[in-house]
Amino acid sequence: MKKNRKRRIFINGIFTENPLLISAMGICPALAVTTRASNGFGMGMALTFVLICTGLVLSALKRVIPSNVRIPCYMFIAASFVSIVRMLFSAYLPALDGSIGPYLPLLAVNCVILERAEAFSTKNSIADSTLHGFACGLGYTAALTVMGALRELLGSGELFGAIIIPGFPRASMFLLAPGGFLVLGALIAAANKLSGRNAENCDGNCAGCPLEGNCADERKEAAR
Amino acid sequence: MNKARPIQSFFSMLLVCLICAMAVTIVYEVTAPRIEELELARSNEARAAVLPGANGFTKVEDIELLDGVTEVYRANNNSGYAVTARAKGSSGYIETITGIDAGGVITGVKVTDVSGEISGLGTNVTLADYTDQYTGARAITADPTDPGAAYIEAAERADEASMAVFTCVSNSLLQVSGMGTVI
Repeated sequence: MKKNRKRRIFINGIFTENPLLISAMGICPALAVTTRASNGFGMGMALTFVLICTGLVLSALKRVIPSNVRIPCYMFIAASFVSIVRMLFSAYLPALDGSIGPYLPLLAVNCVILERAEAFSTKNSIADSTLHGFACGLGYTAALTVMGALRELLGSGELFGAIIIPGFPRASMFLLAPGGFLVLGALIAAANKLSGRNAENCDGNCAGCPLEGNCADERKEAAR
Repeated sequence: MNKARPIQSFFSMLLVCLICAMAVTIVYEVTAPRIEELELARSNEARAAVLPGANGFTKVEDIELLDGVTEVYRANNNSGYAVTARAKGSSGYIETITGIDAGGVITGVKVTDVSGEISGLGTNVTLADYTDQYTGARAITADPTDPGAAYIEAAERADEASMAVFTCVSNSLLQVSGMGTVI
């Protein structure tokens, strides 16, 4: 039972509650850094570290932090871990820091961190919060890496900095914001198709559902 | 989580702030020397690359720096200068180090910061195909019809970033010529 719960938390974090592709959160850094697959991977790992640490600390301090000051506390804790990850990148991964460094501070106000803190970490045990943070981070990292790989391949004709197909036709648009939105839209559509989550087979669980805004109230009621 | 009186909220936030500050301070203390060391090594490496004849560098103090020029280093064997300059690129600042020999000829250009540029577009100014155009020039121009200076062609898909590098190198040349080229 307990093992099943852990497995469900893990799978939900990666697939059914994928922050980028299902919940459409954390789009700003996703669009900014995914001009290369390696940048997307690095940003994803940074977010994973921050999610794990904030999940762990907030879960441990949930009885100490009063509810009326919880949001500033989330911000303090997230900003501290973002500062820590920035310093660690500068010291030990200088090349990656040069590529994504300016966008790392954006993680401090990333809605993925705040939403996970509010919805999960403060209501669950330390182990579950840490696992959930790890799973969400992995899901976000995978999505950013795939998005970065597609944009890099279509925009630069390369993959992880290596030329895959010599003479591959390049379209600079994919390295700019419009190309980022196109690739993100295509990935979200693919994720919805694969997850089978659409208006026809709605299970009535609207949390994190990207279709919620378009869903008729009667359908929601009928599904419930 | 529980609702609390203002004084409890204050002390809770104070506790959180103290824990956060302590964690950040510890990591800073551990990483700061390494970050400083890396930055110094990177700058020294870049200066040595753009002025290969130098046997070490000394920072030139007490000079008036032109707009955009941030540092000037003189080679210890008086073989030339390494000038650091910054200019606005497409979405952030670009930094270059330009090596200029005692005769006022560019010996090399290295683009040391393109963190604000889009990877695969603005970052193309770091490629040798582009920076090598500057080597050997005494004066530079972006006008192909100008016969009096070396024509510098913009890097592929990086017009704004190329203009920023061009500005940096021009300012570096002006800085050195204003100091008296021959050492």
